[in-house]
Amino acid sequence: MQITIAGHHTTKVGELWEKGLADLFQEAIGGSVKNAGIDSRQIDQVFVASKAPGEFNNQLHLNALVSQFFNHFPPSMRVEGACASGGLALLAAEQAILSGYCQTALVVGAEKMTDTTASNATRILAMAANHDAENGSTFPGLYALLAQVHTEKFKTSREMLSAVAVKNHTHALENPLAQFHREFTLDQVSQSPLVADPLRLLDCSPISDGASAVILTGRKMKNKPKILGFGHAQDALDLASRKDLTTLRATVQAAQKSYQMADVRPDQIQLAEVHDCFTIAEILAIEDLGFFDKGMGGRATLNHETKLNGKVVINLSGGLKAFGHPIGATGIKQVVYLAQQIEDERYKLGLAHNVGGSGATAVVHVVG
Amino acid sequence: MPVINKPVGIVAYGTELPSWSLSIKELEMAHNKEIGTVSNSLLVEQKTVPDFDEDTITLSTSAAWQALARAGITKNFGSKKISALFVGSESHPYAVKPSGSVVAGALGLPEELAMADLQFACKAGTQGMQICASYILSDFAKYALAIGADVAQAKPGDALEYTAAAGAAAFIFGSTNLLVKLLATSSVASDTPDFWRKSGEDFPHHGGRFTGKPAYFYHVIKSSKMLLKEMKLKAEDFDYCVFHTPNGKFPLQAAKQLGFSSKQLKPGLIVKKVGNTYAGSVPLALAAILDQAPAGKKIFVTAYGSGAGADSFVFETTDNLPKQRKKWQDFTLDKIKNLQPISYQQYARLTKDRYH
Amino acid sequence: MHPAKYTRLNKQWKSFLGKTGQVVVSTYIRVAGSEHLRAAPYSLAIVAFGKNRKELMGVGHQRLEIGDKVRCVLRKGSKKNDSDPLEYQLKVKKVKQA
Repeated sequence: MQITIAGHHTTKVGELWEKGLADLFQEAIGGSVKNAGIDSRQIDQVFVASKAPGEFNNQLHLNALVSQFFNHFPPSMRVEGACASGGLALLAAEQAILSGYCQTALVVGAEKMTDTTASNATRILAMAANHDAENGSTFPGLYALLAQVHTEKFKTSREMLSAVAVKNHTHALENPLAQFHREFTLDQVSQSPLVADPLRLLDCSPISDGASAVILTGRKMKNKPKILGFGHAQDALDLASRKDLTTLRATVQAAQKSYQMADVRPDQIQLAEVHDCFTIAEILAIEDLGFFDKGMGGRATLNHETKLNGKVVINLSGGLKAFGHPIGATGIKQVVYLAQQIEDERYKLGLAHNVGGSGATAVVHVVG
Repeated sequence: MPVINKPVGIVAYGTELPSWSLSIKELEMAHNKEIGTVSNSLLVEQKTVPDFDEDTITLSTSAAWQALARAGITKNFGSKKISALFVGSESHPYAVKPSGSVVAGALGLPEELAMADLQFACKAGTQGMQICASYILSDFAKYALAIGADVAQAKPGDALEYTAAAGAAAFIFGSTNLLVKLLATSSVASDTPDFWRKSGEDFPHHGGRFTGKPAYFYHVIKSSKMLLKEMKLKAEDFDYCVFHTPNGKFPLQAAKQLGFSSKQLKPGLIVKKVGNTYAGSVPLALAAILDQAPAGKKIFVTAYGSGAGADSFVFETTDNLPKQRKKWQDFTLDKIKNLQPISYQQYARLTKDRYH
Repeated sequence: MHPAKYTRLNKQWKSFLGKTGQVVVSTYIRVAGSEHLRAAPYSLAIVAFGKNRKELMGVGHQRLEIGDKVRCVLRKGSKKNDSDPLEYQLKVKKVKQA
């Protein structure tokens, strides 16, 4: 299997008051074409990821909006899977290339979340839950339930949760595109205002604007990173229907499939961009991806095993927590970040982990 | 004819009080009144306050659920046996669409159902009880459910605010396995505007002292004397009595005028700890008595509704009541004990949000 | 919500009204979405009713803990807009242990 990452671009992530949704798409697409050094007419097909453009921006039919940026109007489709939209759009492109249907595909994700109030954004985000079965839920609330269960079973402490946020903010200082360039102490995180017990403000990823694009191709290209494997799995949408709340089973299964396809083991992964929408989500991820035993993710983080120069570097970009979480772009910006690190020869093998909702969808990519 | 010759009565009952209580003292302090002046004058210590997510429909549903659950212990009594439902209140959430429709749906009552909401101020619940009894007597229904419930409104600072409370009681009427027999009932009504709320208004108005002698006392005494005469009974023939409780004083005065003693009145006089629950007040007072009355006891009940009218009833408890009661929990007095006190600030926020 | 959706959802109430269950896990939501601003802070719990599990809001501002015995009650739902019927929903209320 040969899928090359020919080009990529991520915009600055943050509260981008000057840019609308279309501006974000245009910047990411233009940047990725320039980075690839190809003629844009080589793009056979476009895959667009965005979680809720209808709610946030009153704009659907994004596939058409994006195709219009090209003189040749490539066929285009939008893919949605809540916060896993980016990962799923990558999968759609990979399947199109592997099937021979297209040779070169652009995958672009964007979200413009700041043209509305925070409480309205909370409501829109909650749509990724089961609206009827989980009435009253918010995303911090659902992950708070997972945190409570993890704490009950494994004694995951307040400090361990805070350690995730502290690490990711420190990492983000080296990422010029990150939303936040600010460090925190464990105490500052542990004492930030409660959002949904036990999760506090600084346990939560922010509301962000941003876009990210990759150009994937089946053509052979030298000195470019490759998609070595991918995996995709699902679980029950509502938490009450899950078998085990101490694990995101979809992550476990998606990871197993991607490791098998790439023919690698978890202990060979050097760098991973995981879905830390909340600090507990990172702890669950590093266990479910096979980097640490179940229940040990918090301790490993507190012991600096996932920091720069640790056993496996988790969220060197700053993760969703500090790099930001423009939802539709997130799964793609993870892969873009890994591609950059591999091109710069800092790392050889990376993993991207993208989750939808409270864990009902998981997509894992191995990049090398 | 007010005297009933066929078996009809209460098969099961339930009550519901809201979450909070507010002391009259808190209101006196908030309105700069000398502590004790209002509570001593009205003989009320505290009133119930509904939470932001409680209303007449939710209180009615909970009270009726308890009645159905209790009926269900005795025999295979399901909600599907009820074929009539009347909900009396002066705080129905909708002006058009009955509270009863939501209650019926939540309880799983059958769609083969006679149902309507009633409005007659504080006697809307008891009027519903009378109608249910008539459905049973006329064989229109085997079992009929009457609910009196309110989440009363009062303008902040107005005299009514000190007692305007919330609560509900539900009674299932039938003709067999009665806990309480209904022996007689009658009503009076006249055009007397002592207390009213026009469509679209948030708060009621009242005629001050006019609400006393020409309104409450005139109708309560007239209705009570009329029924006692028909039954050829006197006050001393009864073990318990209930008179509507706009405050703690009026029922004492009515009882005295009719020859009832405070011993007969006291077990039902929950107004001191609950306030005036309007269409729920006489039903709740009756429930409080039934929570403790032995078999074979006579209960005299008169409810008053502003605007104005009164309903009177003569009930008699059966052997079934103390027998079934042994299987129950969560009585009216338990619910009063579980009320959690709140401050005036919390109360003011709850009531402000109710109207905006 | 639109009347049509209301009539699909309200049919579910009677199956759970009055049932008691046990809290499996609970959080206290302090920052709510625009639909439930009035309710905040409120508990959100996964409750086990025998083999069935449901996610339900706690009544009022009641705090629920793991292991609490709770009963399903009907309460007012959120106010979305003036052109919709009033919303009601099942919530859970702590049952006082005897």
